[in-house]
Amino acid sequence: MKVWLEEKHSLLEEIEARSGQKVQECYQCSKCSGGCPFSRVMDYAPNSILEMIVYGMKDQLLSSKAIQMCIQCGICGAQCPAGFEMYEVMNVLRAMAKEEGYISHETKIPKMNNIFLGEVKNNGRMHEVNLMVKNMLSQGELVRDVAALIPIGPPMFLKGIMGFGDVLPHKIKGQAAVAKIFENVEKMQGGHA
Amino acid sequence: MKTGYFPGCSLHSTAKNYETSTQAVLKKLDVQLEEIPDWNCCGSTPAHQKDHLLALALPARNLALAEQAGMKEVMAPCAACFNHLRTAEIECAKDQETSKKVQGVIEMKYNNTVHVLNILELLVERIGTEAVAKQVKKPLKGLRIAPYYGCMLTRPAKIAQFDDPTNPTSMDRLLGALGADVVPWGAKTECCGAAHILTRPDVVVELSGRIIYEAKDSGADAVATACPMCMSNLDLRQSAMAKATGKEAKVPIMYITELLGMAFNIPQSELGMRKHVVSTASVQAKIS
Ligand code: SF4
Ligand code: SF4
Repeated sequence: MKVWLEEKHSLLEEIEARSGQKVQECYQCSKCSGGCPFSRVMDYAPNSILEMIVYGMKDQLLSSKAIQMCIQCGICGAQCPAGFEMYEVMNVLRAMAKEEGYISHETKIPKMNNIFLGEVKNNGRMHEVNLMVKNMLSQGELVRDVAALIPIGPPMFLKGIMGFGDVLPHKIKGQAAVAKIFENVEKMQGGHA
Repeated sequence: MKTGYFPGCSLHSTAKNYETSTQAVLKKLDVQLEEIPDWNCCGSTPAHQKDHLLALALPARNLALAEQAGMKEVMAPCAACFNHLRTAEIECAKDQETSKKVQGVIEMKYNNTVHVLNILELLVERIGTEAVAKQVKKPLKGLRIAPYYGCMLTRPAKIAQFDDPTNPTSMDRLLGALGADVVPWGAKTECCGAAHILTRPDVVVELSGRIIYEAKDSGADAVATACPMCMSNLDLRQSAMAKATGKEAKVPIMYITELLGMAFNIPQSELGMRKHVVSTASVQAKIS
């Protein structure tokens, strides 16, 4: 029992310190969850996450889908009567999960992020066609994804939203400098980046 | 007036019409855009989600390049680029330690002298709606436009520091200056689902669908946006929305700069108006 209490305490303290948000001041009114566009597809709604922090449920929190789904749209913060910025807590939880090597129940988003950032590292810019193709190939739902593209792909070409010139990526001159940024961040974060 | 310019990846691929219309409109308003030389991707949501330092460093390289080129302000038409560049601006200016760390990572000097603007800010606060109104040759009279701000232009408020986070009015005023009927509606700052289109298209179709049907129910002829991501979710996915709900969608989505261009009577070829999945012909017919 004693151990559990200490654990619970340190999690709350760490998150409050890193996020600058006083988790314990949340009223649990759940306005944030009502406004969050993704709360119904999250495993834990934003207000529940705050409660789980108080209860010290670290493993569930750090492997949750919810923390990977938050895109910092800021609706939670704009609607909170306590002036609480929920997304800051999401950001800290996601950073902790990475630092401590947690595997998330949400696998697609981290995979897509890595593909996106790989494009940026290798070219200096994001290349939309490469991103779409590589993401489709890696997510294992090729049939669904190609089917979803059928009504979109041809009109995109026809209307010139995408041209054949967009199919090949082009590198910026400073590509090496951008790749170096990735390497430096990696080094500084001790391999956790 | 001269201003630094950060087009971002989308304006060079799927949102080329946003770039061409932005350039054409600002030229008419006597604004010279100076592109940041050899800019890189701002890192967008993936960098934000992956690593905070990376999410600051990628935009910071652009700010440092802008500073080297003597730019005091940089305008980013893409709402997401604006949001991420502004985050780097604010966090580096706020904290010496952060600034030093970021400079170490980008291996460049940066003295926090560059201010980032979004396009509405440039148009409404720097140029002003009166100067915009003076250029109007063909008022958008009788055209009912629903101004859509999405998330990234106004939120999180401490980053965007622009307009009201849930009831912004800058685009409304701009559309008013063009002579359009600004539609009051409830989805101004709803989220379109953004980058989740690549991982949860079902959720995005539903979220974007709510926005589209709300616009339709409010009697809008078109929705105006200042974000390439919102454009692609709202414009490209209407057939999927119709399939999911059984209700026809067909609401034209226009970049705010395309509407400005129409009102300034800039030829459509210069605005790139054909690059829409949902036809904008009904909008054009209404004012010509
Ligand atoms: S809206 Fe604010 S006070 Fe209410 S549950 Fe969410 S964080 Fe807590
Ligand atoms: S910032 Fe995150 S938690 Fe807050 S409403 Fe948006 S997606 Fe939900």
